[in-house]
Amino acid sequence: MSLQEIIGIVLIFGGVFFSAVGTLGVIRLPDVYTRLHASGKVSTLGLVGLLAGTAVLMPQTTIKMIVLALFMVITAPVASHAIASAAYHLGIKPQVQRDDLARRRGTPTPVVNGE
Amino acid sequence: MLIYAVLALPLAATWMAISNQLTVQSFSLGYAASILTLAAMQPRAITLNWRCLPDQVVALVVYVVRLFVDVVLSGLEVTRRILSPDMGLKPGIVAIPTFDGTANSVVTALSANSITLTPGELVVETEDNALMYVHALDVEDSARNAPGEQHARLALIYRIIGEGC
Amino acid sequence: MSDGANLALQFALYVMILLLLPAAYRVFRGINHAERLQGIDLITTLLIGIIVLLALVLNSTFVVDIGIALAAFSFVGTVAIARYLSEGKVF
Repeated sequence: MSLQEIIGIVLIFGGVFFSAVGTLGVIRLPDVYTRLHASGKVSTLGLVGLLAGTAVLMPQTTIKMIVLALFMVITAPVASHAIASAAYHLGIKPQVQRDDLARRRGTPTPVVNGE
Repeated sequence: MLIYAVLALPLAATWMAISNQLTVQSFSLGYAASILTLAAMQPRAITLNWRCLPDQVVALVVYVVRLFVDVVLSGLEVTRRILSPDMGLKPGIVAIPTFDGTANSVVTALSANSITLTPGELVVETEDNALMYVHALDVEDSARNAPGEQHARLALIYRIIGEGC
Repeated sequence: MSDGANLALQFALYVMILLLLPAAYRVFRGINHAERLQGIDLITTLLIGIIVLLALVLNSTFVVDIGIALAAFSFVGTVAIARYLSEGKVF
């Protein structure tokens, strides 16, 4: 194997590792809000690793990979924010030690997220 | 109208990149489509000043590069928490002011986007473009550090929108 | 590409496809709509990675375009569904 292939495959396996950690976090973390940290950040990092590895292994797709990585990095936080906002509007109570948002509304948020 | 002609340039470049054709036809098609899209969206909040434009572009590039660095750092931080046995979670929602006196919605959007990618923080809700409610994995740490980070971020965001230039 | 590299890429592809199962578990066994939406968001992120790996295994650059289109549509879809859940309307 050439050096180019080794670098590309190391990047790709790094990406697969972070995707796996993101999925593990979505199973393991306790509520929707903490899980969003795993699905929004760690799996985006995994995808960026995969895209970087692909750009090394297939140099003709480098520009497309940069565009796709930029798009994912800019939209991932927006999607996370949209899901978090929707969850709070649905009344899903976060398992937290301190909740400034509930204090502002003055009423304890209803418990939907049972178990 | 002039602002559309300038803003359409990077969009047309993106079109050329994803269609993988560095030709004049490709550029004209992308440029025309970009102008139509911008006319439909009507972006008003961005001020265009020729003297400021180079600095705005530089600030935007710095912002995007910092987003990439933040993705890597926050990914590593959350990975460390997920893989440690007890995860060390002290979750909470803290209110963080944007420190933006003009209550500009573009500033709030850019700050929220950037905060969501800092390690262990996620914007849940904004209020009147002045307060951001941030869900944090370690609430005490975030309540201590986030206002200072927001001050540093705000300087860069003002450069992007060309405020006080 | 050498045989060893191709084998490693196929292994990575199979691992990514297996990761879809726990994400799908979140969608089917979620206890509220926000959890299901989150599972769908994770699945699309994994799918973009799978498509990119598929482009490498098949050695075809056109497959990458599918990934770009999926990224664009999944973002719009996630935000639209989230808005529908929180406000009862999309626009």
